[in-house]
Amino acid sequence: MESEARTLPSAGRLSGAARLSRGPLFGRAHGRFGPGSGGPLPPCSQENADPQKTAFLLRKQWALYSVTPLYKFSSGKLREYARLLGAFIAAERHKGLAVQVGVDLDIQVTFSSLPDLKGSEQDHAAMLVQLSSRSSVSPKNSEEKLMWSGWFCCVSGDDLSENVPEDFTCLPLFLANGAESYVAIVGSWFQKTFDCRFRRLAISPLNLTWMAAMWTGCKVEKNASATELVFSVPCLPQPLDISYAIHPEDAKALWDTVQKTPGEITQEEVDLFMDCLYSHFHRHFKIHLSATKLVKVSTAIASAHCDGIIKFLQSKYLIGVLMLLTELAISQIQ
Amino acid sequence: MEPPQREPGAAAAGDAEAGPAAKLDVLTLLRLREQMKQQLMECSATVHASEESYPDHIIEEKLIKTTTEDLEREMEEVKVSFQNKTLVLQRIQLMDALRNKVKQNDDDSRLILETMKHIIMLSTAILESQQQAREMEEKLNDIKKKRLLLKQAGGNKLLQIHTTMKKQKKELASMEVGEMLEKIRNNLQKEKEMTTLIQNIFQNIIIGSRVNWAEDPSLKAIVLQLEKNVSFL
Amino acid sequence: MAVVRPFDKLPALNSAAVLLVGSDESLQQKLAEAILKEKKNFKISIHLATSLPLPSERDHLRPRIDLIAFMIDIKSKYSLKNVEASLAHVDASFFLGKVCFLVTGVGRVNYCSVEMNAIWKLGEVYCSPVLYCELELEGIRVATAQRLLRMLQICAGHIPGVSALSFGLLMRNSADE
Repeated sequence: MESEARTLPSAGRLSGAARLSRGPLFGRAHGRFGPGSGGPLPPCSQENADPQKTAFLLRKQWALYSVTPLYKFSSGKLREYARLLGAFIAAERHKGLAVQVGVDLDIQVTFSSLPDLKGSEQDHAAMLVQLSSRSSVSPKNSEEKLMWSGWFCCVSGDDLSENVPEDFTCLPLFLANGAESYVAIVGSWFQKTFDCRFRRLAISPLNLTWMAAMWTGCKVEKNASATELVFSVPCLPQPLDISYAIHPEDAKALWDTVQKTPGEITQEEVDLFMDCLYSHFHRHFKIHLSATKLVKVSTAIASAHCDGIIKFLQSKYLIGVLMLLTELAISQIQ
Repeated sequence: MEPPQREPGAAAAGDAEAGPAAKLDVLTLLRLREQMKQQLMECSATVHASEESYPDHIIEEKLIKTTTEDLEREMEEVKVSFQNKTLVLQRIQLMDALRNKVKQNDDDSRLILETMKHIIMLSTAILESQQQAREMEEKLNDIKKKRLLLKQAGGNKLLQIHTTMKKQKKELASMEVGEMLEKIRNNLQKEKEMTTLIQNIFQNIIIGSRVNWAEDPSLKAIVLQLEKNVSFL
Repeated sequence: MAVVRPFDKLPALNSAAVLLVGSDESLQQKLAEAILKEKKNFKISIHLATSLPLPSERDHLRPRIDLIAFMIDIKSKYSLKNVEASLAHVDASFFLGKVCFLVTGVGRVNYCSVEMNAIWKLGEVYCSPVLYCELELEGIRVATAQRLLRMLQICAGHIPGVSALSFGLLMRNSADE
């Protein structure tokens, strides 16, 4: 108890100081690539990249994981890794730990690189792992069906990648879509092969408020979907969720009055923004939302759940959201 | 043991007795005495702290400041005198060492003696040069003094000339003014005589007309005024 | 009475009073019970309040408050706001060692709704120790109760030679190092 009490404040201070002010939303990438200072929220470097290549990442639910640096990973050996992982999955199934009992499917593993998902030069190219099934009865004419996909990425993770020894590759953020049992198998293979560790990345309510504020400030086209915040009320016999939907233009107008220096967001501004929303709600319903737990934020940019689930909705802001998630993953690893 | 007291709503006592009151042994009493002493001390400290007034504080602070300044100055003086003394002491020591060395009368001491002689020679040369320089300086000063005196005398003479010129100018001006004054006075005299003449004529006319001037107040005023002698105004 | 003062009443013989202020009443209750369960050789009265100021009508019944513990739950931003609002009703001389901040929910960073920096700043600004704990765990709750009890003894003047102020300074020095 004593030692815990003594070490905790310093930890809190560190993370607090790091989060006091964030760089411009998506502006870090811009500053590095773009010429001089640009508009308020510049679309990131991704604009010159092909949005088609990353389009399949949108509108899917991705579970978030943090991954410690990979040991002796080489992006030249992706084909070999695919073969090894395929063999590993087959072996696991033979051990009796069947993934899907009864269905006899051939599982095809593909590894591919997503070079567009990068924030800075130091970032390692993102890597996509896909598992698809093929009926073993008629392998020729049957369509391949995608069962599970997961990808590793690192967007502006310089804090981490500059501080790891050689032979290590930093891809701190892992996103998975599909059955969780595959995450376990793929994760264990990666853990054995590259001596890394997977951990579920939850998003604390504090970080969700950050996301709510940052995404509200982004420009989106008209008739975008509403900004929605979901709160769960603690200490009740039955679970009770409160959904708070705001017209995106109203939210943007509020945020614009709160934000002082464009291109920079401080904790005070985020707090003030949320307090305004809370007090508005309190005036109408006499409920202190600040006493509840913020569990989900969804905007036209993306939607995030505190359990560590994210859905990207706009390819324009994909890099920006990934940058924030990379930061969270790195802080969890450290 | 009783439940704790909830403040805003209904309440119950929240006291937990340590033990029956009958068990008051000496140790407990002593402990209580210590407790009360501590509490008394804390209370008196609080009272003392709240009594302490601010002006006192400020005065005390000023006093401390001035004293520190005084002390610092004294320290500085002592430091300087100490340094001087060490300097003197070092010189004495040096002299003593040299003297001892010279007494040994070996090669080194001879060299030292020679050097010293050379130094003395140089010193006398310096002294002489200084003497000469001083004499020359004195001469220079004398010359400067003379020049200064001459300059002053010249200035005085110039001033005198200036004042004389001024005087002359003034006299000239005053003469002009006198002439004008004379003219004005003559004019005035003439006017006065004329006025007196007119007065007399007017008076005689009134008297000669045999009007009882005392009856009409305005006429009376005029006649009475005519009596005034204009030349005495 | 709008402001709680530490020295406006006389202390009762061999007794001490602690005031727990926090918005989560069930946790408060649990902590109070844990404190009452501890062995002690003096009378203790525990007062619970969700916020300050205390109602003035029962002021004459209330003993002298020796220690105020403000409870903050990192899972609820409201608890922090509530404490911040309540602090205005505490006399300045209380902050000479007779106040502490009890931060619960530590160790569950994923549920954090409060910025830790804000809490640390609160302790700094009000010159009072911040104790980190997890009151929902039995063991830590007991340890916290013992800790509070010891602090209460000092604050009530039961320990000869140690005043609340000197104890507070001691805590601060060790925290700064």
